[in-house]
Amino acid sequence: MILTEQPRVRFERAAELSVHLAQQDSLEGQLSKRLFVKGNEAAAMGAVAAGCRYYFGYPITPQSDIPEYLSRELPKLKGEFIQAESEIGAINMLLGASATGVRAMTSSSSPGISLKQEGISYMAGAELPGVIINISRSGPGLGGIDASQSDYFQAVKGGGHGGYHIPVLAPNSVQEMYDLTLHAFDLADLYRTPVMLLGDSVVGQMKEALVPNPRPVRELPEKEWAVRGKGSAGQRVVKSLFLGDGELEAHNWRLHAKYQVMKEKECISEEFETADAKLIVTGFGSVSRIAQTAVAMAREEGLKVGLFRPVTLFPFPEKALAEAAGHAGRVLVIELNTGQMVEDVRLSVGARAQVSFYGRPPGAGSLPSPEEILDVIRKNYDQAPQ
Amino acid sequence: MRKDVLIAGFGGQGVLLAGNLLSYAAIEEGKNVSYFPAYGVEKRGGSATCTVVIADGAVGSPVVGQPSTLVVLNQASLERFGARVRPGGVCIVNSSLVDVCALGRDDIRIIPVPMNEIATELGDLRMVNMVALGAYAAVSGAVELATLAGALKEALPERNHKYIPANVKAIETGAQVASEKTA
Repeated sequence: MILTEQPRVRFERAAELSVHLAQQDSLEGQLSKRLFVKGNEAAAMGAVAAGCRYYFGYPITPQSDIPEYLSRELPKLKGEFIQAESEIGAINMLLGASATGVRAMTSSSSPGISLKQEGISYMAGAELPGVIINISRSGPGLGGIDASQSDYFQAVKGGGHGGYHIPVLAPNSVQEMYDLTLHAFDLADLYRTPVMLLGDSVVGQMKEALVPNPRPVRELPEKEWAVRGKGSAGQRVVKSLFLGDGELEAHNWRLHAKYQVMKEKECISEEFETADAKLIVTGFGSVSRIAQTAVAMAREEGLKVGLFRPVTLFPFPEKALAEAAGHAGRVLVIELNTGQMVEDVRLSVGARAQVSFYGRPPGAGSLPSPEEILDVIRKNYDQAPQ
Repeated sequence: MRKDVLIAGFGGQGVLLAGNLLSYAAIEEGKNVSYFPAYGVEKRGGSATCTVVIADGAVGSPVVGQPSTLVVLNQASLERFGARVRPGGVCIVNSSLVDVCALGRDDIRIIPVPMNEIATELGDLRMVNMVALGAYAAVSGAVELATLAGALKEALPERNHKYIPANVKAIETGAQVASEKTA
């Protein structure tokens, strides 16, 4: 089966970023540059291409290919790779490195990301850039290493304390593991914020063709806040503690305003066959790939079904989804959990469409096949307003 | 064109290398490909499986519920995946180790290839994966044999390049035997 329409990438007021994602299927003329790599390796390569020279982490399956790659490559580039004593050590090393203005990152998997939450909150509070990759595991506690999307709430709703948000990007291909890592570093510097890439063992462990495109340079502000030694300039302080009268409230209003700008400017979503759809299927990351094939199979049966994929989970592409859902009247949310993103879908869509949910709880064998999703689509399509 | 295959055997039979080599060849031919290994607590002697999807357009799902082709290198894999082959699909079996009688399906084409014997005759049992891959390439037409042979340089670390001629021979022999069975 050949998909009849290439996915259409939609950038809400962020058109300049579309170059990479839109080009991923037009590989003519670039074949000589196509590599065959794991998603995890692609993310590590993206970090190097973004100019990241400092990595701090602690090994954990299924993301260890990222530190493995960087432990080999960063020393060659006069960078620094440090295997920290723990995930908590690693996130605080990232905080320290970022405070000096360099591009730096860490990566881990669910339990390790939990350990990093305090540091992420401090970075959000001190407005420090930095990239955190979560190739997540399944379920609470030690859980399992199977593909799962049970960390959506933690990533999107602020896993640490204090009511902050960080941009969360959800790649669904090896190419996007590379492209969105590059994008993550730009967002981090542009908004002075930690940025998270959220994937699972499907996007981390699968191998696909990768075209390591050089990234169009985005204009980024000078890091006039970075602590690089006093020199002749004035003292610079990076902190998340504000004791002055009204200082903390003003700081939090400023953070809030920043999140509103992100919501306005940084939403990314992708649509496939949505124009005439009576049912919109939506899911992020790995499951969106499975859903894409299921939607193509449904189209072959003559069902008017489309796919809407949020690429940014925060900011959530509310307007674009509401628009697509409004036309269709019915939305089916598919997740590898028992219902998390569906809450944001309901908030976005409001009364414009009926929302139903199909989820698979974390655990071995939790990956649905395209045929299984097709079955769910058929059942929901019958209930769609005709 | 969209081809999908599930390759399954036990750890040590080279299932993952076979999937990798197939993917390298598909990329060499300008196609899109996804290679998805079963990812769990796998070990030598335990199960090893991977799914490869090759397409001219978008690959779509890297996860395949009903593969159009199943390549099985051991009995346990046939029992685990045999029922999943898409009706009208193909099952290429390592008849040296696998008894297909128990499968009980008349809606798929079963192609037995004595992969262990062929590999052993060619000098090394470890080439069983190359025999299997040659058989798959011949039956499916997913990639050219010559591309597979050329892709060995990419899929193998340099220290093993001295084994490439023997592996090419294994691919060709697997292809030849499978072609004779389907003729």
